[in-house]
Amino acid sequence: MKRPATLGEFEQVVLLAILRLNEDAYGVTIRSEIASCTGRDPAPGALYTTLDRMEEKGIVRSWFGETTPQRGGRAKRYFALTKPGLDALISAQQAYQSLLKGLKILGGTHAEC
Amino acid sequence: MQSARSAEWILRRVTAKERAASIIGDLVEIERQKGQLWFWLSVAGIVVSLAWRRPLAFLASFYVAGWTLYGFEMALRGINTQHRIPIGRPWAILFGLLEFAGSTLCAMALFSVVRYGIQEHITQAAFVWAAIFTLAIYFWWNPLVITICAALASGVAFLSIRKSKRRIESLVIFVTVAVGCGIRLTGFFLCGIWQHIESHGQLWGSQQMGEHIFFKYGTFGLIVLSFWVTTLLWVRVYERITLSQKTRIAE
Repeated sequence: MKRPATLGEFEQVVLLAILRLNEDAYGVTIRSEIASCTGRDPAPGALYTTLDRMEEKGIVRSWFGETTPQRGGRAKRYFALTKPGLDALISAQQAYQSLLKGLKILGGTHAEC
Repeated sequence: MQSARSAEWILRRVTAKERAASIIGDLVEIERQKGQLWFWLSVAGIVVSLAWRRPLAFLASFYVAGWTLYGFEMALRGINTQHRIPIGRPWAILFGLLEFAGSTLCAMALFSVVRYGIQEHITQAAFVWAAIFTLAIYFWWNPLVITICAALASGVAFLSIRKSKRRIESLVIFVTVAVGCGIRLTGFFLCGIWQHIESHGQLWGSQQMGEHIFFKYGTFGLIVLSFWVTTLLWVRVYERITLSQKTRIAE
């Protein structure tokens, strides 16, 4: 069986933001979701490069929506996780969870070993 | 609006038309809160993030193309070489083609590693072929090494045709190297003709070249242009094929 792709920390943040946004994940909303949840305001360059790279790796897929006058007649580019992308994210998060087991850093939630 | 159009034009130089439009659309949405300065700083940041690999890949591979060609030339025809190639036009053509193919493969392997990363199969395949060609050029006189190279080449070719994705990658490498060699040889050939027109004979050394500045920089420009066409071909063919494959997978 093929192993899931390894993900960097920022890639995981972006993927989680896309998952949280569900059908409304495009550049602006992904950026504001990351900012509101993590307090970090990602640089647009870093965000679009990461999204492009993840699409090349087959972790996310993108499609263009309808054009809107607020954006000067430009279409939104929506993102969603692919099956390999979701597997990679689950695998990365499981690795974090395993490392957290036995530690009390999150108020004892992960105290069981 | 004018600034958005200008920014979109700039972004279209480094990414696809639709992607550039959607990125600018995003920035236009946020610009209302953050202002014009933020907008242009973001555009600059995005251009740098999306495009820094391109000039670096080109410069590094151009440098390698020059040095490997020089190295192969010295190994096959240099004054100090112990194993000079046999005299005769067929040998000169054969080894000339081998040199150009080897140097193009080395350059494209480096180009691919900077542009797409070492994990891409096409990069790995280009490195394997470059290693085989380099070994064959440096040890052309050694039957054992040539036999190993031939066996390795056959093995790699056999493995490449078993899977459709590898077949396509091999095709990209083969086509680009063949066309790239042709373009580079044409470039050198045109430089040779120009040289004869300019000086009615071959120019030797930096002093003679210095006396023909227009020819010197013209030659360099022609070589850069021919190499640029090779890298462009690699990028266009590879990206078109991988993009169509990914579209098929997504569907």
